[in-house]
Amino acid sequence: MPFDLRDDCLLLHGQCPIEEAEPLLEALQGATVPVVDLSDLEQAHTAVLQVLMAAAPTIRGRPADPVAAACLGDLPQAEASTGDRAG
Amino acid sequence: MKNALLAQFIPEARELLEIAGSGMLQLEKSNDADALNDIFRAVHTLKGTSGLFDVAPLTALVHAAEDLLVEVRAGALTLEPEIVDGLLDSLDLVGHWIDALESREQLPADADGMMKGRVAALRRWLDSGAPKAVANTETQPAPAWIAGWPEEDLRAAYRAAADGPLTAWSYEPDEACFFRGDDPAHLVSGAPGLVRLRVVLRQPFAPMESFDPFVCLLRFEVLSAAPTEAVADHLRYVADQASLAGIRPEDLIGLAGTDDASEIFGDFVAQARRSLAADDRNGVAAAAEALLRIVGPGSRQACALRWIAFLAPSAAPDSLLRLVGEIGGGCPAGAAVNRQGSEIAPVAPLRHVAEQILAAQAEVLGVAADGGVADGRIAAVRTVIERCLPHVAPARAARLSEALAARGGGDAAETLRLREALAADAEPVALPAQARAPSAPSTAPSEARLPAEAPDSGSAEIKAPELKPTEENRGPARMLRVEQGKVDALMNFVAELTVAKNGLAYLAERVEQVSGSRQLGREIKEQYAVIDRIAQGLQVGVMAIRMMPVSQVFQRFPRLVRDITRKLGKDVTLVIQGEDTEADKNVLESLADPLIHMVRNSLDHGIETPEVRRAAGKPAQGTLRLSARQENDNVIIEVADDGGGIDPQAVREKALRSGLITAEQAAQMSQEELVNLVFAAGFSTREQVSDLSGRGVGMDVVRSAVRKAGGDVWLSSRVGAGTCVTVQLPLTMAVTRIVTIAVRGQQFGVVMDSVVETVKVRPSQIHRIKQRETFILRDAVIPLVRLADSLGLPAADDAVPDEEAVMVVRVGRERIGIVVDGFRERMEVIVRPLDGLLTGLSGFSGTALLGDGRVLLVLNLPDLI
Repeated sequence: MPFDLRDDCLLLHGQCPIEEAEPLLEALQGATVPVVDLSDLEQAHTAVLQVLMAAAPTIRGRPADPVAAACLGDLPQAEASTGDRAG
Repeated sequence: MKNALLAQFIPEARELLEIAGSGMLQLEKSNDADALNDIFRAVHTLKGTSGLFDVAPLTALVHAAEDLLVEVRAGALTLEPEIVDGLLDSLDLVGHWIDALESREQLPADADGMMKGRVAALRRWLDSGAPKAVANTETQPAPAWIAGWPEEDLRAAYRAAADGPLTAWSYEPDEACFFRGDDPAHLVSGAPGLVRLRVVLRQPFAPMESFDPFVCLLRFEVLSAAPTEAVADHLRYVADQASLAGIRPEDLIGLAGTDDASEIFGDFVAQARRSLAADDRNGVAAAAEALLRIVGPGSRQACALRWIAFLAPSAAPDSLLRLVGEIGGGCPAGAAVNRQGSEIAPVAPLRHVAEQILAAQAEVLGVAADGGVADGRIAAVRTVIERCLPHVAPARAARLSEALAARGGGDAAETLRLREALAADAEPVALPAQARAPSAPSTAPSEARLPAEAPDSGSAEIKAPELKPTEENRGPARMLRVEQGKVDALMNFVAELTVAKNGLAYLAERVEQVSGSRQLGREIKEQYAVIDRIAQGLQVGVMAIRMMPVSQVFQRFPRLVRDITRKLGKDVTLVIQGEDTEADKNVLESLADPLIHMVRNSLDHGIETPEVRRAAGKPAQGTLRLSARQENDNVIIEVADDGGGIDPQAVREKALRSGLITAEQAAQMSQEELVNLVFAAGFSTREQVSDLSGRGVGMDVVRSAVRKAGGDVWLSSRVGAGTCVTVQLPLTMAVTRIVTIAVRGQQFGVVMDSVVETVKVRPSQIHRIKQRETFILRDAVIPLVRLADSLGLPAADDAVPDEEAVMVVRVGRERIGIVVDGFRERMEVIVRPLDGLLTGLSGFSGTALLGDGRVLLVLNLPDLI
């Protein structure tokens, strides 16, 4: 499953198909301060990207796909999240 | 059909072919962009859906047609009649294949070969048009949206393009694209030579609670370092949603910002010109960078400096000189670096900001509020919109001010009006891919975050916008596609019910006779009345389902007329009137073939060639008029031409020669009667008709087909002025109202529609003219026919009655009196055609089952007279 719910954030990885758009939307609506980790995201369907743009959660990591990066580049970035995890 | 998906595909494909075909004809008449788009959409959809099935030749052929249409739409190819012919032929072939798919669930064996031939033909036009296409793309101006891009992105694109090709393209997937399985982001990310892209929101997202993740609201603006053709090929499936322009790297250089008239720039210009003259590029770049550290980043000059610093090492000296000139200011318009850039620069940022403000107003209006608050809010929004007006596009400003001017209708109406005006042609609100360049003047927050911020602030009163109900109201009519067999079965049951219901009337009578209980009989009759009413309602309802507009039959004629006239070298306009007239599907279907026959006749024999017409003083272009209207329970369809008409004398001679009429008969006949002889069986088939001025090919076939459907057909013509064939058909054939008549103790049915009236005639009033009995009804001579004689029944035993019962009927347009022994009841029955041994029995149109179980023969009056 390319979309996991961790205790502190939503983790998107691999290929995110359109089927993920609705559960993702619900998860983002449910979260008080939504944080989404995109470090391992390879590609996401347009609908998924749209959900992220609309919900504007805090983002960790940059998606590899240029279109995804263009869509999500404007969302707030979590600081030093990768550093924390590495440490 | 086993494959349910295929069963659904077939009617849809036919519909699409129909749309494409009629669009093509319209397009040929006038170069209509809407028609072209319709065709394109139809062909495109057909190609897409056909991909679901194993019909590769079909898909390939439609694809080739689509490619051709792309060129036509791009303006690279003009739509010659030959190309239309080719496209129409291809569509016809697809139509045949669809028929084959319907019957056998697979394409004919020769489909592949036929496809190759057609595709080759289509491609030939494509190739001949191709060089023009290339020439076109090279001169395309850069799209306006480039001016809104951050400078860094443009510079990156400039660098990537180097001296290679550069394509600026935007792609705006339609809202429902996800449902077709499209993934626009994936498509964009796979595009060739992707350099930089920006994702723009076409309209702000709805608040999270009502956000629909499956409506695509994005627009992609992309710069690709690839030839336009390569990008176009990548986007070929969404060509209608994308726009491409091959641009030069210099097109990317645009200057935005306010003018700064500091003297310091003058010094720089002088120094830079000297450096450039000495080809000291590094010096220019260093000077520009040094100056940039001193001046503010927001001005036009600063913007030009950044470009100079970037371009100095590589660009041609004259483009650098032009930039330097820009900094100096006051240079003539002709020397502008990029006309678009410099023109748009002062306007675009403001317009962009204005659009953002307007979008926010729409958002504000979308939030529900109490009466008191709403008042003030509308006033505030009005003020804001008014102030924004000077900065938005003129068309949008006009619409907005219109909405502002229209007052009244309460708060809700006003809110709705303003929102609609705001949403009407809102420009996309940009959501830049990367942080804005420091020079970008916009200070408004990115639009995407507006709705998202609202829930964050914890306010609970934000509700879904009230847009939804209006959207639902505007939704298309809900249609149900039902197999005709099901409706026919339902219709049969209704008809059976009607007959069964008639049985109750008999039952009531029998109850009275047998048990002598009048009370019970009356109760049964009351019950009968209730059932009768329901059955009639049911019948009307089912009939309405079967009703179809005449346009279903008429729509094939534009094509037919075009093909025939092209073949005959005639010039004819087709005028169609009353195509909304409705009639029963079966009736219309029975009409289709006769109509084709008549139209062909009119074109072939009726309308003359342009030369002949001009010689006769008529306009060179002939007119063929197809019209339909409803008269009482009949549909009247006319095929009228303004051609040469039919010469009654020629018809008479022909009829005499062929022995159709005798010389005496001919002498009695009016011109109109003579002309109508063309309907007589065997009139035309014996000889070539071309020696005759009129028509006549198979008109008897037309008449028999129309009569079989319970209608009639006649013709009026004036030599030199044209001919009009009129077809009259009953609205429906399912349930027939008849009146029963008694002759010599037998009962027969007569269709009520043809009965004009019933009268009693004294024998003294009957006059004999030659062999014919006649009587006078209100100053008109009506010929009499004795039904007993016509049916070959024995003569009456009893003496001549005091009065003869005469039923006046209408046959064609003539009135005829039919002498019968008496009239019985009227009823509704289903007339079943004669079949088996009875087929071909003349004088009867069918049989009907009566409520008491007897079988009634229904007379076919034209046969008897």
